[in-house]
Amino acid sequence: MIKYLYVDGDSFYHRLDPRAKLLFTLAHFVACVALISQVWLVALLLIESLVITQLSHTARNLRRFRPLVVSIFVLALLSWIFLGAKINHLWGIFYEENVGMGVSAGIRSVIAVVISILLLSTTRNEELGAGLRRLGIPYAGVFVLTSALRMAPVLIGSSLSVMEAQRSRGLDLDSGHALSRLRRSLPLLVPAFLRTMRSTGTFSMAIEAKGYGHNPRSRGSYLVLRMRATDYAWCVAALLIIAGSIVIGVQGQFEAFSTR
Amino acid sequence: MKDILTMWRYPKMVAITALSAALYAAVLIPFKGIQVLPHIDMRIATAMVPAMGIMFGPAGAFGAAIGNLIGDFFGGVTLGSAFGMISNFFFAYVPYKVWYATRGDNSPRTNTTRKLMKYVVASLAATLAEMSILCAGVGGVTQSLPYTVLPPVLLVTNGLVPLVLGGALIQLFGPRLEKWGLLFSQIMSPDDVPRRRPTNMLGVVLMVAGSAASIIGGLYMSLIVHKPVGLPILAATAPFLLVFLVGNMLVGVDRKEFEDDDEPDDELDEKFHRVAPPPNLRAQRGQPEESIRLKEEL
Repeated sequence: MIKYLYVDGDSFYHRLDPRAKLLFTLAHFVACVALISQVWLVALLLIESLVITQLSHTARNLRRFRPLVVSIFVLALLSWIFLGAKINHLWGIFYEENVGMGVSAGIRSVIAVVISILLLSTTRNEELGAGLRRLGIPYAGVFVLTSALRMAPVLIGSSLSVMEAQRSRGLDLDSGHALSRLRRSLPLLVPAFLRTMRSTGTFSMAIEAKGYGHNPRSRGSYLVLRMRATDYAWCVAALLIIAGSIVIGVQGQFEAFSTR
Repeated sequence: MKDILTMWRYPKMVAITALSAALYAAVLIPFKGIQVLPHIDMRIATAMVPAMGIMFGPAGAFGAAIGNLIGDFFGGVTLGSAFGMISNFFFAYVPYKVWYATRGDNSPRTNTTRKLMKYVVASLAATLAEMSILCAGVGGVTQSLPYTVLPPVLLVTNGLVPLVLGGALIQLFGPRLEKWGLLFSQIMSPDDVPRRRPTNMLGVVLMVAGSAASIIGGLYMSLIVHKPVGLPILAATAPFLLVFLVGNMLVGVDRKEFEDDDEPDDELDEKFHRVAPPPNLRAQRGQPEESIRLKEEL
C-alpha cells in the first residue's frame, strides 16, 4: 500500500519554490474546469504533465497509480456513455455528445491526478506547509494539515497491525456479505480511534509548549522560501495557462450557446 | 456558526482536529483503490464522521474536511476535492447541530431508543447535506460527471455506512471520551459556541429541506430538462444550498451542555474496571488521593 508520496530527488521541479508549484497545479485545475469541449487542448495539457513528470524523475510514483488512473478514465467514459444526455446519435448506445464529454472528462480527471502526484512527489510536507503559509493560509490550518499528513502513514501502519492482531484472534473479515463484513470491521476502528484520541492531551500540551496561540506573525521557520527567476517564470507560465484556458473556454461556451 | 472560528483558540480542539483528520485519512487511504466512479470510492471511514461531529463539534468537522483532502492526495487531488472538503465538513457539522438542537439528555450515547432515532435523523440529515454539496460541485462546477449518477451512488458509498455503524461507534466512544474530557462541551467555553435559540428547530428543518430540495432540483435539471452539467445544475441547486446554510446559522447549543458534571458514574467505573475504594478507607490506609493515583497508573 502506498503510504508515502514524496520521492527524494534533485530535479528542476524539486528545486522549484513550493508556491510556484502550487500555482502551476492550480493552473491545471482551472484549465480542467474551463476547457470542457476542447478535447485537443486538454490532451496537450496531459502530454505536458506527463513530460514534466518524466523529467522530474517521479514517473515511478505515477506507475504505482496506473490502475487507479486507468479506472478513473474508463469509469468517466462509461458514466457519460450510459448516463449522459442522448444528443446526436452515432451508433448503438453511443451519442456524439456523450462520447465527447466522456473522453474529455476522463482526460481531465487524469490530468488532475498526474499534476497532483507530481506536486506531492516533489514537495516535502514542510515545504508544502511553508508555501501555504506564505500564500496567506492561516497558521492553524497549515499546522493541522501538515500534522495530519505526517501522522496518517503512522496510523495506517498501526491500523494494519491492529488488523493482524484481530485476525490472529479469530476475526474473519473476508467471508460473508458486505453488511456483516462491515459490522465485523468495528473491532478495527475502536482500538485505532481510542489509541489516537488518548494522545490528545499530550499533543495539545506539546503545541502549547511550542507557543501555539501566540502571534503567528512572529513565528520563525527553519525553512526560508525565496523566489528565483525560474520560479517567477513558472508563475508566469501558470498565469498564462489560467488566462488562456478561461478565454478559450468562455469563447467555446459562447459559440456552443449561439449555435443551439 | 461562530464556533468555526473560536474553536482555534483552544489547543485541545486543534489537537483533536489534527488527530481526527489523520485517523480519517488513515482509514480512507487503504480503500482508495475501490473506485465506484472517478474519485468516488467505497468509504468505510464515513462511519466515524457523524460521530466525530457529535462528540467533537467543529473540531470533528474540520478533521473530516482535512482528512478527506489528505485521503484525496493518495487518489489524485482535483478541483472536486475542494467540494469534497466542504461536503465532508458539513457531513460532521450537521449531525453536531441536529444532535444538540433539542432539549433533554444530549450526552453522546445511543443507549435508548430516543437517542438512537435521534442519531438516525442526524445521520440522514448529514448524508443529504454531503450529497447536495458534492453533487452541486462535481456536476455544476467541475462537470466531470453527469448529475444523474451522483446522488444514488453517494447514497450507497457515503450514506449507508454511518447509518449502520455510527450509532454503535458513539455508544462505544462517547462515554470514554467524556471521561477523558475530550468532548467539545468539556473543552470550549459556552460563550464561544452559538447559544440555543427559539429558531433551533426551524434551522434543522431548513437544513434538511434545503439539501433535499437541492438534490431534487439537480435531478430535475439533469433528468427532465436534460442538462446534466454546468450552469443549469448550479442554477437549480445553489439557491437551496443557501437555504441550507441559513438553517445552519439558526441552530445553537444549550448552555446546560457545558455544565460540569462531577457526580461519580458507578456504571462507568465498573465497566472500565476501575475499582476505587471509598475515600474514608483510602485515608485509613494512608493511600494518596484518587487523582494522583490515576496519574501514576497512566
